[in-house]
Amino acid sequence: MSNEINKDEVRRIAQLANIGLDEDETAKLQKEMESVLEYVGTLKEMNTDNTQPTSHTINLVNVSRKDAGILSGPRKNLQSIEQGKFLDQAPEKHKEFFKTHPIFVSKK
Amino acid sequence: MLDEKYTIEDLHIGLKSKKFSAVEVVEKFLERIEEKDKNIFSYLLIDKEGALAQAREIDARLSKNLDFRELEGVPMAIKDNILVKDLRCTAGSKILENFMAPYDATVIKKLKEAGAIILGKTNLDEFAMGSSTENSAFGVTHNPYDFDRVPGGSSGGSAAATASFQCMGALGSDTGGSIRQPASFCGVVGMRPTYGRISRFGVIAMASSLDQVGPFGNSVADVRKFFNVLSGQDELDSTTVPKNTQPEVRKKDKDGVLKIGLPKEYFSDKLHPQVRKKMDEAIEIFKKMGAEIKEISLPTTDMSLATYYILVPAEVSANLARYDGVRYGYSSGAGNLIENYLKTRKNGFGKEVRRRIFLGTYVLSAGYYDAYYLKAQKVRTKIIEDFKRSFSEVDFLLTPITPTPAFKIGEMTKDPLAMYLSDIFTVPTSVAGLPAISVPFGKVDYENKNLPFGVQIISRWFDEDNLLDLAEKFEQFSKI
Repeated sequence: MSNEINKDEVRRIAQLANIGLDEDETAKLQKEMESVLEYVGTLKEMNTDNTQPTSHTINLVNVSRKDAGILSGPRKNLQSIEQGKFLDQAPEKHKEFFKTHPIFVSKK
Repeated sequence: MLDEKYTIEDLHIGLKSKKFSAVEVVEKFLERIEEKDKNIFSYLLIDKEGALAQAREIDARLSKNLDFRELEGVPMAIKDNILVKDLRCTAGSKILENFMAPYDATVIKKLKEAGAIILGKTNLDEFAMGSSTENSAFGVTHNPYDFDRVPGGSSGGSAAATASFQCMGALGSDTGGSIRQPASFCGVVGMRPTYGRISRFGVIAMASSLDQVGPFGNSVADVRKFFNVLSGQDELDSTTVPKNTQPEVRKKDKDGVLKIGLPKEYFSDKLHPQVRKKMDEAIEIFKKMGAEIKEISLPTTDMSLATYYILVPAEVSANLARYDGVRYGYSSGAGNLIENYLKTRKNGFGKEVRRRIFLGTYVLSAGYYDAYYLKAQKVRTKIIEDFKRSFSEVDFLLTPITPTPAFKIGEMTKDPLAMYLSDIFTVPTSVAGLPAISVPFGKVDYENKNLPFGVQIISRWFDEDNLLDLAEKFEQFSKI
């Protein structure tokens, strides 16, 4: 893995991350990302051919419940929170809905 | 008595004997905050009315002789990435500047039920990303021992507030050392429990496979009281384990002698000579306590930080995708969907947060996943195996928390990698999900200052009870 990133790649990453990027920031970010990637790239020196990946550090058992449509105490408490406590914080709302810009725009 | 530092036990004796009321205690803490926090800035929000109301309720309970709870009347501060119902919760970020918590995190519910009083919310690095509390969107917290220095981070506000006794204890969160490092820099006790011990429901997620909540206190005994209240399974956090989950016992050399390992990789020349000297003194104390000291090796130590700085940005980029300016938080108000995402996230997030999202997006993007993220997950297995091997030989590990005491404000901000490297001794245990505690051990001469310093004790998974026992014994012996 090469640790070199060009400016186009930085711009592409910004787009994937949905974060706006000024042109003068691009060069600085390119340098910073390269320096961190160079550092974390040292991992390739370690042999992990027969090693399984770890996503969780402790042995977890899957938690499931009966599909009975009955909520336990803590979940019920959550459901009983007034809708307004969430909805009133939305940047824009319409009746009891969050309001957002259209996702599909028709070409007229 | 109300003018000096005291323990929960002292407080409870005073409350029970009616030497003072809960309201008087809270008033005194509010006065102290008024006086001290001008110079320290540990609090982002002080809930004066709420704290006094809780105190009045407690006084009413006491007058009725209702049962006395574990944390009755204990004034606490909460890191501002943990939801307290109807209080603003910012995560130190502009993007959540006006966010009101609609419910209590499970840990807050537990504290309230145990009788604790919540004084306010403390400063942190934005979304807990940082090691100095300089990354907060709302200002820098200062070290109570030297205002020109950082309190550590990311739970710097909680550590500084506890150290300056602007609260009796506090909650923090620790992803790569964010409880232990500020505890060491500020001279208080700070504990990161085993991954899964404490619920994270209602805690703003940073890196979900590493984040853990834990307490700060001015003594190990206080921290144990907090831990006992906080731990336990929560059905709202499916990564929590049952309260009675026990550690595995040591298999090799089972002879009843307390064995403490010194991982040689933590005692390299990276360590400041004064810190090294102090560690030698700590080792002598453990010997006096009857421990057998054994040098061991954790060969993956150097790889841990690189592993961490792949895993964390990757998880950050996924977790922070939810801040889109649509449902809550700051919104740029730009004219179309994509423009609004781009502007909201550019203006709402600070530099370090954006940097980590970019890095995480990169390491998870097509063509790089195997080389970075999958590789890091495999090295993570190696790191865990390393610790398992060492815990078959010894009961605990003893290390410094950081290579140096608190650094100066502004000293590390120019080079992100230099800041990352300051976490080198706390990150490996986080990557492995192990519990560890930072116990204050006097002061170190550093840059012509006398600064607090803490030792780190690491135990097996789920061995917090023995870890706290050992830490408490060390605390007693170090005072002799």
